[in-house]
Amino acid sequence: MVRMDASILRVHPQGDLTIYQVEELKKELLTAFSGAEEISVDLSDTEKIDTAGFQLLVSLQKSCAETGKKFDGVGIYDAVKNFMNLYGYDLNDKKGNR
Amino acid sequence: MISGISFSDIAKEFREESLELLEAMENSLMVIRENGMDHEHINAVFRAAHTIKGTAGMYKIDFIVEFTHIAENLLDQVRNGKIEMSDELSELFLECKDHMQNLVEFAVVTNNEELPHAKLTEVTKSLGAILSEKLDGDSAATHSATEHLTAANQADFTNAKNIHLWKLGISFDSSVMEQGFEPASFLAYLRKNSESFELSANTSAIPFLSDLQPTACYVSFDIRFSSHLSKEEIIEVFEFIQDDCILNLVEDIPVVETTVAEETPVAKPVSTPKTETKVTPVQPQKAQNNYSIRVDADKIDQLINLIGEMVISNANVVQQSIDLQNTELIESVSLVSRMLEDIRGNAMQIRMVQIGESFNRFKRIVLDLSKKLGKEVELVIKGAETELDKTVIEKITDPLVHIVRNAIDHGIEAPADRGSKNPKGTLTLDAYHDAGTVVIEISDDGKGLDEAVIYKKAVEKGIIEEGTHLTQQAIFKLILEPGFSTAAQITDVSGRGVGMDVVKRNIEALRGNIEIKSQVGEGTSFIIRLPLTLAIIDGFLVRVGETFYVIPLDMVIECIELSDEEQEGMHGNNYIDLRGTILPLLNVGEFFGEQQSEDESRANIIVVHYAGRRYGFVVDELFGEFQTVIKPLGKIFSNLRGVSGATILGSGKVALILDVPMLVSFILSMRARSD
Repeated sequence: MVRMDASILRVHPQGDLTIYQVEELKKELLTAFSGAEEISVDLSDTEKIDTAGFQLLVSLQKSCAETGKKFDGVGIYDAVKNFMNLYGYDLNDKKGNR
Repeated sequence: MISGISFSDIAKEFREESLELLEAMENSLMVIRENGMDHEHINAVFRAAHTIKGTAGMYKIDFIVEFTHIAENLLDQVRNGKIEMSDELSELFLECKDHMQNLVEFAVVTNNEELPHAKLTEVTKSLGAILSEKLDGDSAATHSATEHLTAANQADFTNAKNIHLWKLGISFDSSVMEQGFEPASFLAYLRKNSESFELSANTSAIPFLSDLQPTACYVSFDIRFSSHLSKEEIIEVFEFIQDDCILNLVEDIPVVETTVAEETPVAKPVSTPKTETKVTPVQPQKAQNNYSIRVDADKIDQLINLIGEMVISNANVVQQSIDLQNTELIESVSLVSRMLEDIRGNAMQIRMVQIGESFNRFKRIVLDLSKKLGKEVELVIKGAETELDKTVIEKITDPLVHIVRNAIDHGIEAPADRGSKNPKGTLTLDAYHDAGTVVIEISDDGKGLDEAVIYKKAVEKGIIEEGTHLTQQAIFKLILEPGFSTAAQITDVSGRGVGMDVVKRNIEALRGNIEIKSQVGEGTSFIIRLPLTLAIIDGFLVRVGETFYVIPLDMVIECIELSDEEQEGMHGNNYIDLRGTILPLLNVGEFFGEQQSEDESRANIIVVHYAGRRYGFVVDELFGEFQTVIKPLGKIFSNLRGVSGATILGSGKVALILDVPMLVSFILSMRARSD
């Protein structure tokens, strides 16, 4: 799910990104975060997301903005797109980063 | 759609709520039938159907949603005036209501785990076909049931009216997700039921990764949406998390309002200047409980039982405080007693329900039945606001149904046979309070009871012996005897295997009694008297010989001393002259075979009032008012005459509660014999 590729931290959640996965993913992200210069989130294989998953992504995005790291969302699965639409949120739209 | 809650958890609530809505639906339909179409009631019918559909949808009871949806479409066209309301239509809707009720019951019984059985499906189909047929052309095509199912999740409310624009601010308790709720599901549901939906998620509270509690909820939302949902319905969407979220619901001005099409545009500018007309922050739990709280009847029974025990214990405390002769203590105790009395009164009040609700259901019965039998019957309801203990109402409804059925079946004649009377028969239901009892009268203006016929029939059936002398009242009451129901009269209406004897038994089980008045050719009245409550009464404590007795206080009119002269003036008769009228007397001591205490120089008479007449009970000593918790006597005493229960006095002694109706009938039979 989380992989360092040179200085890029690639986050690629498979299957569900829900309240059942967030604790573990957060730990992994936190460990890898400081060593990364850029973070790329690929949601193309994320079949299900909930508010907890959403919050984790937003938190990751915020942390990047705070520390001057580049954040990039690539790929999105339909179900997740629906969810993001409901919340009116676009990971790549920096306006969302309030 | 809402995780963590299974249908079986809410099945009971769902059933109650649905049945209540269905009842409201039926009542409104009946009003429309009687008084013609009006907006208020057709809207009520529509809302009921709509709410049931919505709730069923939440729990994925597709077969209810499917059927209700078609009915709702037609209802919508009716309320918009596209289709004119007719008796035929209202009858169709009544049938739909019955069917919906069956579907609801089915879903509850099977826990929504099974598909409806063939019979139900068939009715769904046939009623659905009739409904679709009635639907106005174009919308019928676009809103067919099957289409609805496939598009079930999409906005199917395009033709729903009364769309309002809302602003909703919602924030959640941080633990909401840990409790198994997903905010997005609620919002998605709301979106599904909205015409337009603009949501902005406020993510500012989400901390940096290092501080993030991944399972806590940080987001809050601001939503602008337009929907046909009412304020209550919107709040209901969040019902399951009402304790874990704060809603701030604000209504913008209505954008469309087609139901009030006649409203002139002149009226509108008044409300337009401001974009937000009403700002009402809403605590959902408050809005929910605005008018009533649903409480399990058992809990109230428990409370009342406890209060009953407390009244008994208190009587004991009062007794002891008097024995101790400590004035301060007596004063405090009397204060407690008074408060306890208030508590008791309030608790009993909780159980009181207006009888009108259960009267309303008779409208339907009368309508269906008179149609079936080709009779014309008008139902007149009086005293619908009379309050009665809920338990009593529940138990009395079936007997009432039976009497009403009988009155229409056997009492009221077919229009052709009504002679000079109005061809339309009248059936009156009346309820009123009278001396601590509630009286329910069911009267018809039918052919009346024929004494001779009843007498003959009773002899044939072996209920009485030929030649027995009976009063008119006693003869009428023969129709309540088991085995009286006659084979010749059995129709599919009243010959349901339940005789009028069940009516009598049910009423007697409630400590009530029934009286029949009838005039051949003019009609029959059934007069049912019931105690107001079943648990605690205000009593009047007296002593006869060694035993204490309690007389229900509501029945007591006055107490008089029986002077020696009067006693002599009686000449062994059982009545005295009370200010110019005859007062029949019953010597309670004699009746119960008490030892006559010789030293007792004076006796007292308690004058009671029952069924419109006065009677006197001769007793030894009067103690006055006493709060009485009725304890039923065991089975062994079931044949004990004259006593309806017992109570425990402060001293621990048992006092017997006099069964006034029974004693009165005893007095009457004594008089009849001596006449």
